[in-house]
Amino acid sequence: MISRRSFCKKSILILGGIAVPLAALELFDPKKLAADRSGPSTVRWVFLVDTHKCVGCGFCVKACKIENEIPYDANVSRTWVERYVVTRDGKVHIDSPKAARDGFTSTSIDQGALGMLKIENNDIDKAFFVPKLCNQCDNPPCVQVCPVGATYQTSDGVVLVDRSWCIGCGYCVMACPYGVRFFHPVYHAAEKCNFCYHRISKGMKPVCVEACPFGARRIGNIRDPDDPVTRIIMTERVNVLKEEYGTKPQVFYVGLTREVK
Amino acid sequence: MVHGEAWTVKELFVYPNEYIYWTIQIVMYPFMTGLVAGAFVLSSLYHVFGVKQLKEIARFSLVFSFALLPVAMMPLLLHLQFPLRGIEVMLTPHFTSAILSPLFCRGGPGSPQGHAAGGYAAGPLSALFAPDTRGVGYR
Repeated sequence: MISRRSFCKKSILILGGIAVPLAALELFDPKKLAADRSGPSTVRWVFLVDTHKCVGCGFCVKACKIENEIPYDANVSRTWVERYVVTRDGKVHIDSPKAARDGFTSTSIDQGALGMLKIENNDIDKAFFVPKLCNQCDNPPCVQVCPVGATYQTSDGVVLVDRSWCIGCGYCVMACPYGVRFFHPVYHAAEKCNFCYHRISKGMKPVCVEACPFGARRIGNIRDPDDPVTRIIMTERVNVLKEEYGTKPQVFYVGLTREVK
Repeated sequence: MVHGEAWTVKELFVYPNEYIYWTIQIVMYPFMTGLVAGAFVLSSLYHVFGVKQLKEIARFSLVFSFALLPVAMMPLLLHLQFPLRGIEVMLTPHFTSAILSPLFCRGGPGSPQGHAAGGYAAGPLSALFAPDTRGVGYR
């Protein structure tokens, strides 16, 4: 005859045993722990953008949208090109119509709802294009703030998003100082540039690098001293965006000026 | 349509990806939580601490508090793109996130400790639970 006390004890034990998920037991798998403790990766992806070479054709944006299945007409993009026009009165005009998907077809500045701003050629001091993409920071604020850990950094430095884990709170979108993140209009999860991780992990180049007709965009491995991109970063005058945020961005720009934000 | 396009004023933003995702729902959540807590305190003042002046309001505020309790979380849940995954914040927490800082890590940008450590420092517990995450403490 089973007593009430032992029945309660046993049922609590069984229920507790069922409640412990198998995922919790995996924490103590010694093989996995050993694999996690193996030395640092020999690959750290970095990006090099030569703003002198960029002409604002927008092929990179077009290629990126098609390759990564970002809805073509939505005003969101993993990469985009900004046009900077500095006029004689010291003002800086910045625009990126439709993420420069179709290039810059007009000399007027697209101010969104405020309309187009015509600038006379004689008033322009300097004008240039700056392609933007995810900086794959060494200290990524988006990874820090994700409440469920759906976004994470791989050992080769690329920050990825798990679409099946993202709860869609938008915290990472708010945290990114570069405005790189957005919600995918179809999958509704947070979306960002990942240097075409599906391509670079197979030895290919990101699609924007392939699409750029002028070689303004290059990808390299900063841990490899013989990599041409690493050599340029080590020996030439390169700069990064918003260094003051302490994110340690890993997209390097040649020819960056103080107007670029 | 991009999430946020319906209400973001594009006169202020001309870059791509610039949409406002955190709106009125984020404000409604602390407001309703405050109503719940306030009503509960009011009722407990009579029921527990014996403040006789609150006899008329005590019963109503208890019912009000318990009725609003399950609803208070709703705006926060509904602002998520995946409301059904909202429970994952409790099941698979990531301890460096400031959303969890009042619960666990006490070092988010909003907390005094976080400010003292320069804004984005991870708390001591967060370093225990998420050693692979690179906060400022990592360097």
